[in-house]
This record gives sequence, C-alpha cells and structure tokens, in this order.
Amino acid sequence: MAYQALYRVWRPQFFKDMVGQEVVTQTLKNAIITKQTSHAYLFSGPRGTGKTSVAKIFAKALNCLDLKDGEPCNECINCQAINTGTLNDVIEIDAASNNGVEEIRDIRDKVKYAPTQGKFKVYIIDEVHMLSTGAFNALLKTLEEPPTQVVFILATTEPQKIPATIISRTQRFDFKRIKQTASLARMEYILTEKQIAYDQQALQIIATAAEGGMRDALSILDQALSFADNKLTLDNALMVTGAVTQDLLSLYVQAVLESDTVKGLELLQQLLDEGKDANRFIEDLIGYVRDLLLANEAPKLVNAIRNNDFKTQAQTISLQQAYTIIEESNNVQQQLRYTTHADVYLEVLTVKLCNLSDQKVDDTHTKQELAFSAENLPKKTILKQLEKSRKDASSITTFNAKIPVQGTDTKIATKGEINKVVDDEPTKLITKVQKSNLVKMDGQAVFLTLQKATKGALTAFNDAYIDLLNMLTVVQSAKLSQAKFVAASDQSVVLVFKQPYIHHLAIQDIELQTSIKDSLEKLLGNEYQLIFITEDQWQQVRKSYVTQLKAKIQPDEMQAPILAQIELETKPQALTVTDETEIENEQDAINSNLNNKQEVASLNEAKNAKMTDIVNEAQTMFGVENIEIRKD
Amino acid sequence: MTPQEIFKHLDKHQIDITKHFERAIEHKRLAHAFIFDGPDMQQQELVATWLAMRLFCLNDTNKPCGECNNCQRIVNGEHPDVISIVSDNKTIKIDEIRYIKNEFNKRAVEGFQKFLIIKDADKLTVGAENSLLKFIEEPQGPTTIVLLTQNRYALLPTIISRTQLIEFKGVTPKILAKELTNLFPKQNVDIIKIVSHLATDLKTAEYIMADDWVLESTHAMLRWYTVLMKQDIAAFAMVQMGLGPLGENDRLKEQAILDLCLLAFRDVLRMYEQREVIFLQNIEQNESILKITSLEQILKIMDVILKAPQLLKQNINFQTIMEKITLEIWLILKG
Ligand SMILES: [Zn+2]
Ligand SMILES: [Zn+2]
Repeated sequence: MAYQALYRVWRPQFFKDMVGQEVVTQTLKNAIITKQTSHAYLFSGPRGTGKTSVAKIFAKALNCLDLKDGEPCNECINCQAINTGTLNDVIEIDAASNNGVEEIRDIRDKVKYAPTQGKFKVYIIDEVHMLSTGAFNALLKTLEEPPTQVVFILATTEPQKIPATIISRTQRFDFKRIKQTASLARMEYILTEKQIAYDQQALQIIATAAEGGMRDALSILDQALSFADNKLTLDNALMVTGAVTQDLLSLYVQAVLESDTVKGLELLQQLLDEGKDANRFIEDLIGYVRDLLLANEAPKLVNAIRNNDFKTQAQTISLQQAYTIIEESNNVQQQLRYTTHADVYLEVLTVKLCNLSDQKVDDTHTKQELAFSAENLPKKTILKQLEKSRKDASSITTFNAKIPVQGTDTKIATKGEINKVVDDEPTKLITKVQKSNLVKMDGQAVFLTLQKATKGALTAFNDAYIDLLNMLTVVQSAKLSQAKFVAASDQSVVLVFKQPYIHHLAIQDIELQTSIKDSLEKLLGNEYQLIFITEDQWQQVRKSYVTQLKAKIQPDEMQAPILAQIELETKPQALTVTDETEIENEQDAINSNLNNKQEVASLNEAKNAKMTDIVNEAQTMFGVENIEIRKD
Repeated sequence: MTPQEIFKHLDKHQIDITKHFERAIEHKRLAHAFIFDGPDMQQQELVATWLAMRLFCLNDTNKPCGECNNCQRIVNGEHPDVISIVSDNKTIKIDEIRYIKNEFNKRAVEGFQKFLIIKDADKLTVGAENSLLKFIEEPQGPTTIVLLTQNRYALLPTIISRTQLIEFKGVTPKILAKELTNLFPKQNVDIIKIVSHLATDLKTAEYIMADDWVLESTHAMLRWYTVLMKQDIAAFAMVQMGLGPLGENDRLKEQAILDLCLLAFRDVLRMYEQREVIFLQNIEQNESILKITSLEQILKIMDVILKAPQLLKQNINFQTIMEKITLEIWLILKG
C-alpha cells in the first residue's frame, strides 16, 4: 500500500483529539448534547488548524447512532460510512474546484429531500471563499430558508472574502493557530504511539517551523522521519525545516548588538556554507527579534522556545534597534525575490546591522550601561565606536539620510543628550503625512468614545487582542504589541501607545491601520473608528473628562481638550516651545472647532518635526523618499 | 539526455536528494506530493524524471535501470501515466488543472499508479492553486505529484503545507568553475572565473559565456567603475556608449551586467572589511577609494545597487536603470 502522510493517518476522529481548539470543540459538543445545533456554521482560521477535521467529526456526531457525551463512536454504520466517505447524507464540496453556480443550485434542488440513512444531511463546503458571486447568491437562498435536518458547514482561510449576508446567517467559529506546546504534545503522542524515538529539540524546531498549523507540523515531521530509520534526529529536523539553530541565531543577534561586523559576517558565512536558505534565515531572524520585543512587553506571546542568551538580549535591545533590524531585514527579504545572489544581499544586510547601533542605541544606552558596564564591553566594540564617532562627528545623519545636516554635533552620552542638535537655526522637518480617515487622534474623538463606552465593549476588544496580533504581519504585530485598548464603545475604540515613537509610526502606517480595522471587523463583527493616542495624551484627556463629569457637565456640552504635543523620548531638552507654537496651538483650536481634525494632526506633526531625532528615525524607518529636510 | 547521462549527472550533483528518495522508497515512506524548489530548474526536472523512473521501472532494484520499456518511455516523455504540465504561457489556469484532474481521476492507463509533474508551479493562478488543494491532499489512487518551482514563496501556503518541500541548492562558484572547465577546456580562465561568479546554474553560465561578451562586459563595467569612483560624471556617458548597448536588450545579459556591478561593489565593501576581493584585484586605486569613501557611503551605494534587479523585473529600460544607478552613486560619492 502506498505510504499515507502522517497528517492523513492521524486526522483526528474525536473532538478530544483536536489540538488547541478546545473552545470550538466544547461548544460543538454541548450543542450536540443539548440538541441545539444551528443550520449553518462558518469555520474560519489559518491553514492546518483543523477546520475540515472538526467539520467531519461534527458530521459524525450529528449522525452517530451511539453518541457518547457528544463524541461520535466511530464504530456504528453511520460513523464508519462517513469515515470511508460513503454516507450519501454527508456531502463534501470543494468550492475551489467547483466555483460554479451549478453545484450550489444542485444543492438547492436536493436539499429539501430528507436524509436517507443518517439523521442529518451535512454539507461541508471547503474553501468557501472561492465561490463565485452567483454561487454565493444561490447559497444565500438556501440559507435563508433552511430545511430541517440539514446542516451547512462552511470552512475558509479567508473569511473576509465571504459576503456579510452569508456570515450573518451562520454561527461562526474562529480556529486559532495552534500553540507550540499543543502541537508538541500531539507530535509526542503520535511518535510514542508509533514507537519512534525522537530528539526533543528536533520536535521544537518542527513546531516552530509549522507556524501554528498542525498539518504543517505533521508534514514536516513526516519528511524529517523519511531521512532516518525510525528515529527523529536534530540534524534531520534542521535539514528539513532549513531552520537556523537557536544558538547560531542568538550569536548572530549578539554580534549585531555588539556591532561586531567580523563576527557577524563569520556567522553568516557559516550559515551559507551549511546551505541555509537566505529567505528562511531572514524569516528566522525577524521572528527572533520580534520575540525579543515581545519578551519585554507581552512575554505570553513569545511562542518559540528560546535559549538563555535570549533573556539578556531582550533586556539589552532597544526598541529602535529592534525595529530597524526588522525593517531592514524585511526590505532585503522583498529584494531577494529578484536576485540569484542572495549571499551578497545578506552580506550587505549584516554589515549594515552591525553598524547600526552606534548611532541608534540612544534610548537604551543607559540600559546597556546597566546591563554591562563599559569595561565589560568587548574592547573592539568600544574602539570601533570611538573611531566611528570621530568619523561621523560632522554629521548626525544615518546612512539613509540624503541631505546631511550641517553644523551639528554628536556625542555618545546620556539619554536626552544624544543627537542633540547644536545649531543656531532650527531644522524643520516636513513629513508628508499621508492623510487617512482610518484613524483619529484628537481629544474630541476620545470624548465621544468615553461618553458611549461600555465595560463589555472594552472586554471584547481585550479578549480579541491576541487574535488581532496573530492576524497581522510580524512587523505590524510588533508595532501593535506596544499599544493597549483603554476605552471602547460599539462604534469606536481608543488605542494607547506607550511609546510616542511607536505612535508616531502607527499614525502614518495606513497598511497597519487598515489591517487593524479589517481584523477587528472580522473578530468582532463590527466596523470601528480607531483612535490612536499616546499614554500622556490619554492621561490628559481622561483627567479632563473626569473633571467635567464630576462637575456634572452634560455630555453634549463637554469640552474636549486639545491634546498635548507628542514628545518623543529622545527629544533634545534644549529645544523649548516658542511663541510661534502657542500661536499654532490657538490655530489648532480654531481648526478643531472647524472640525478639521486631520489638519490638527498634521500640524502636530509639523511641530514635532522640530526634533531632529525624528529625522533620523523617520529616515531609517521610511527611507528618504517621504521626507525632506528644510532649513528655514 | 539519455537515462545513463541523467544518472551520471545526478550522482555527481544531486546525490543527497536521490539518496533521500531511495531511502524513503525503501522504507515505504515516500510522500505523495512534493515541491522541488531551487535556482536551477533543470536539476529539478532531472530529479523528477529520475523519481518517475524509479517508481515505474520494471526491474525491481533500488535504482531505476534506464533500459526497460518504462524507463525509456519516461525519459522520452511518452509514458501515458507520467504526465508533465509545461506551460509556455505566463500562467497556468484553472481549466488546465481541471482537465488534468479529470484525467487523473480515471484509472491509470497501464499499471496502477500515476505521476504528475507541474513545471513552473509558481505560474499557477490562485484559482488553479486552490483547485489543486483537495487533489493534492487526497488524490484518487496511488499518485505522486511533483511541483517544480524556482520560487516557492510564490505558491500558496496551503499548497506548501500539503506537500513535502525538497530544496535544491544552487551550485557554488567553485563547482561551477570546475564544471565549466571540464565542458570547455579551451576557454579562457578569466572568463570561467567571472562566469562562475555571475551565474548560478550551468545553463545561464553557458549562455552568457558565448563569444567574448563576458570579457567585454567586465572590462566595460570596470572602466565605468573606475571613472565613477573618481567622482567623474563621465561615467554617466559611459552607460550610453558602453554598458547600455552591451545589454543587447537581452534580459539575461542585462541581469548579468547588473550582477557584475553588484559583485564589484561587494568587493569595495569587502575591502573595507579587509576581506579578500574577487573582481577588483587588479584595480590600482583600491587604496585611495577607501580613503575617500566611508562605510556609510558604501552602504548607501549598495542600497542603490541592490534595488536595481527589481527595476529590471518591473520592465524599466535597462539603460535608464544604469543611468539612474550611475547618477545616484555619483551623488553619494559627492557627499
Ligand atoms: Zn457512531
Ligand atoms: Zn527500468
């Protein structure tokens, strides 16, 4: 007999076999036990998380002649017929290959006939997002008047492509990415059953590579097993996943943090000599740095199992460093698609990353000093930094800057003094902020939310938070992981960014905003106005609100404050607010009254722009194209 | 290639992969769906053909014989149960996949198994890919499906998760140089050295090695580089007169010239890090270049160079790209 893939052989047969979807399976089991099943279900979630498996188990449970506590018996004639695919009452449709209206019309015609052998007719429509508009319309007709004894299960990886009219007629279940611990446990179980010896670290590598898909995990496991006779070795797991070992990754990041180019290049060469895939390396690197970020802010979200140096690095790395590494890596990953010389790209990336920190460690410099004082730092690094600062003394611009700012001075010094501009004339930065209607940033919007806020709404947002992070790209989720929901109504939600710097990034990142908005709509079934403010602004606006509330001012007569300027942490202390700014503030007020909030936002931007630090940061993050520096 | 030539080639270059398959088949652990991903499509095609022979060979040994009726017909593309989808079009559409699926759901014409190869699987449209999902996951009867691609990142993740991924490595310059020397013993050593660094597969190597094109282009590039590094804007004019026309409106050659520039500036970076250089060994001004350029400048220049291949893919005129690069580098050097 031909070899059957593990993921096919070990497809779960009972609800209790399902890994990492306890909420879904428990709810479905309860529905079966209490005989309160719906006519239509929507199973959505990433690939390989068990949507089709649960659909089949559910179909069996609906038809089983010997139900045990909501679980199908897998032994009665109905169960067995479903397992072999011969029960006529359970109809599986692959929407991807049958996107025509005909098939769905066929369902409509036949749906009215009672089940022949089973108790329920169950239609499982896989990849339902591939249905054509016509087919969706035909399906809608059926869902509007569902015959009794019929259950539809629609499964999809892309729920956003399904018409709202369909979604509203279904009971929806979101399948989560499977936690590493859960997929580890499942693989351990299977290997023990099959009496195959395994290396624990090898399993962890596979679990990481599978990115939360159980099918992926088993598929990779399968392949690793095919290299060795009846055992799973670390080498085979590494070979199959192309994963870079934790140790090597950690050394590489250490080299970057210590600005040790020689070491960085050496490690890179080692990776390339081992035949590692450039793309995989970058993915692993981004994942590693993302986890470094999360380790401080949301340790629960660190999915992978990391080694000892990881903790120290998490304490050492600065937010900016981490973002720059992620962004630079991301850029290279895009470019790799167009070249056959990936090694050169990685080489350049390595040199770049190993030379970043000199000028950008600013906000953690003190942190680093605490972590390991100067004499503990490798000599080479110090020498290099000295040399570097000498070389660059005439310019504070990073290597991304197009126009060097003249007459400036850099010191590697304490927080606040770094990148301080000693200059007679203020340097003005004009960021071309893309205006978006997706996000509001003003006090009025926060007030409106507070007036309609409910505890339930906020809880719903907080419950959805982790799912939301999972739905975003790595870079996006890294940004959002620095923010929290503080108030919500059924129309809007206020997100507070702890770091003004991240807030600054987020308000300009339209893609991020769109993703958050879309994802929230998917998760909570409603469209929300997003409001992005900083922690300081939140304290301010909340205080004002509470004061007015205590003074018993009617909601429609409340006056929302003009939000304080956003001060980036690295703002040079020498720069003070000038009269000009006060005038602008008044202008803000006028604009605000004119309901011209976007204008206010961009004015705020222009004011912030006084801080030359932004020049550096913005240029690093967005490239020079969007920014010009003007000397007044 | 004859079966024997294929075996010889694979023994030399893809022994790890064929050994892996042999072992998997021996232990009856051969999966039913694969993605072969690697820079050199020919390697993937050869292994796919070899695998089909291994599965269909009438002589029951652990290696295909290459002689029997099945082996012969597979090599000649004539076996009715071994089907190859090769599309000259830009995309492979859902209709083609539907047709193939229907064919596959019929019984095998001879024997009992079927073998499907989809070349350039990254050309599949999203619809076509989606329609393959169920088929790949649970094919009717004993079927082996192999998707060949040079870029698996262009495939749907749901396809990848249903298959086993076999990564083909590109050849190293060293091996390529050896290979080329064997094939073309009379060829100029310098040319072989340059080509082995430029190309990542034999086919491209042979292609750009024809005539003296590579030598001529390398010299043109080095002249351009020398002038440019002197911050002489004359380099701009050299594009129109030299490097531009050398592209010959041939995508492969244009790409090769961009790669020449890439490798030259990589050497500058290497000089800075005091590592061995490959292309710029005999350039007199190496020393002085380091004196006038900072690491920042070199990295900025690298940014310009690294972005160029993408422009070429976007169908921007080659000469325009070269001019843009020249101007940008010149501006960076000027400070
Ligand atoms: Zn049963
Ligand atoms: Zn044979």
